[in-house]
Amino acid sequence: MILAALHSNYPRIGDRPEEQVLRRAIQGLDRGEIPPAELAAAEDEMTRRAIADQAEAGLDVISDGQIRWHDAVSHVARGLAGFRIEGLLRYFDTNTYYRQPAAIGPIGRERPFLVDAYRFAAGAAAPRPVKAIVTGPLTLARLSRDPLKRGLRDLTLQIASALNREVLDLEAAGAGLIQIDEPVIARHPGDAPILRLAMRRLVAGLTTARVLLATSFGDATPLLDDPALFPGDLIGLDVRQAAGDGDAGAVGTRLAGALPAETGVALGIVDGRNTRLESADEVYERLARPILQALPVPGGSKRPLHLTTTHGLEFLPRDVARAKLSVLAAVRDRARQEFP
Amino acid sequence: MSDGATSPPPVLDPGLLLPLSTIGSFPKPERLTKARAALSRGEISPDELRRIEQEETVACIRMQEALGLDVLVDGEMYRGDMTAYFAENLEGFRISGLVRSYGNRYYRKPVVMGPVRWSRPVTVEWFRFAQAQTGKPVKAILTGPYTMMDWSFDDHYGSREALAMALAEAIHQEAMALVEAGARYVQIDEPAVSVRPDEIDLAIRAMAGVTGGLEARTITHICYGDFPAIYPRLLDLPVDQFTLELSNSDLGLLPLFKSYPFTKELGAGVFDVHTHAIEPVDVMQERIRAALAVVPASRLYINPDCGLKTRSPGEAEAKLRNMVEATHEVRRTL
Repeated sequence: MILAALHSNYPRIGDRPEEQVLRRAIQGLDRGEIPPAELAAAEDEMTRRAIADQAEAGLDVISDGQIRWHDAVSHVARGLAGFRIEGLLRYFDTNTYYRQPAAIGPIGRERPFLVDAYRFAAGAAAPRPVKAIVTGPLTLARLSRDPLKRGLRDLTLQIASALNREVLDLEAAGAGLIQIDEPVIARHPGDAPILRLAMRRLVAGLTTARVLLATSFGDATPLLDDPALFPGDLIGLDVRQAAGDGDAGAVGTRLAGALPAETGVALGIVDGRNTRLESADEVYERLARPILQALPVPGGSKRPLHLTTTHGLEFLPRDVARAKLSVLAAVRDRARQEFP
Repeated sequence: MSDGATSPPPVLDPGLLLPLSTIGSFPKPERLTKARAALSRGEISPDELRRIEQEETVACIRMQEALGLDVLVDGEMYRGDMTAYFAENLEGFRISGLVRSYGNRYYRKPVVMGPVRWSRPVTVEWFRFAQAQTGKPVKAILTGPYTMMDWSFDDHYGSREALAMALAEAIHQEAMALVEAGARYVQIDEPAVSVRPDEIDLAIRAMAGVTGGLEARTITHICYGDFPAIYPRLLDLPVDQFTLELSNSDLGLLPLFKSYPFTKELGAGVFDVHTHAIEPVDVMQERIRAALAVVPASRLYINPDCGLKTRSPGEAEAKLRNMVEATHEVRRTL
């Protein structure tokens, strides 16, 4: 069955007062006016709202919206040993920022740091499944400072080993799908051999959970020329960018030719970066349908297929993000009718 | 609003070394924040809010004079977000709901809905008002076309270049109006320029559209991006001075300027605007001396890393006081 899912993050704020509890709580904690438990309660509240928006739209696989994350890079680096969090840097070509980690010591993981949030989200989203999301080792290494001059390969592999413990704990906590976000790979395709080694370390020992290697911030489909470089049960691709103004069917043909029949695909089809609201018909006819026609689809194969936004939706205002989720669900509905 | 700019506009003493300035925004006093909230609830009139904004602008000018800054700013008491403010005052935009900038900071991101046009002066009256309060030069601050383009959603043009160049024309008209009103220092902020190295040529063309024919000292402010990817091509931006963040990156930009000479004026950011900690005078002195190793004193200006609006009024003033003292100490040794 074709499933619909949010790529990753979701707005932590909205225009209504009740959607601003987290902002107020962070301000309150900053001023010493509330205890940390109140901030945690506000994070819980906004996580529930992010999950509710996805459920109301009818998505099949739920993300916790990464509501608790300061940013995609420092949140994970803070959970690992060996990093110091430093100054602000712009995050890819967005006008959002992340705090840059510096890898100043041996990289390790002393205690779980994503598991409690996963458990909370899984409880709030039940019976819908929640995917656990972890920023990948290559992206962490690329976006960190490396003052000890370990080099990209060694630093990436050390991070992968540390994150392996977190991934195993997520599986033990019940995560059936673990998404590894590697946004840097589309911009640094030459890193693919390092990513392949790192992914092997990262997923070693997993028994039941499936792994989705998710890309964004660019077209990663050229890497499919050597599918061995793309380990994982599913691959997430921004096919909207891959197709550009051209024929999306060609993207589907390339995917069908490159990927083993069992390898799943998460097709990023709804634009997560701009407010312009595509119609479900437009997205379906221009992107989803031509690609699905070229791919063996569920019913005819074991290949898992997800339809997703091209990025997390945190870059958008909440009302637009909500509308994009509805478009995504409507595209999924049309796809299921034609490709049951 | 009073108009006192009838005498020749003040300029810096050409012999002054290490002129002190800021990037543009100052913290909004609680009184102003409350007044804005009261306006949104209909409890005060727009005129009443304007009066409070003027009083706080005067207070901000007085503080800068008292601290001993050389090129002043109006403090942007009347502005919210740097992109949304201009979008609200140019034709072709609407303003969206809140989106996150970083941490716990949010802003309303503009959406381009139609052709972008400049139909009336946006900041000129505030410039006149601020300049009338002081005998020191006031720097006019604009948001640049590349950043306005990159930080807006585009529902109309469908082309980053077409939107950037339309914005360049609109901002050029505003800059010309400021110069006509007496501005001799015009800063065009382009923090987004360091984000997409592949678009540096577009950023340069757009900046040329703004600064072409402008009879003023032109400055641009860029921060928090991938400078190695655009340096030294960055120097081709047609402006006289760059104000850059040096402290946030722990002086990481300076080795870059040793690899290829920094040929323009440098406004060196000597304190971090995103930490509560007040950097001591000796730390700022070291940063100024480090900047002097790559740019001669005749081309070096001293400023914070970025705008001060994210700090509390007390933090901003304390950091600026140390910046002034550190600069005075270094001036004595030159």
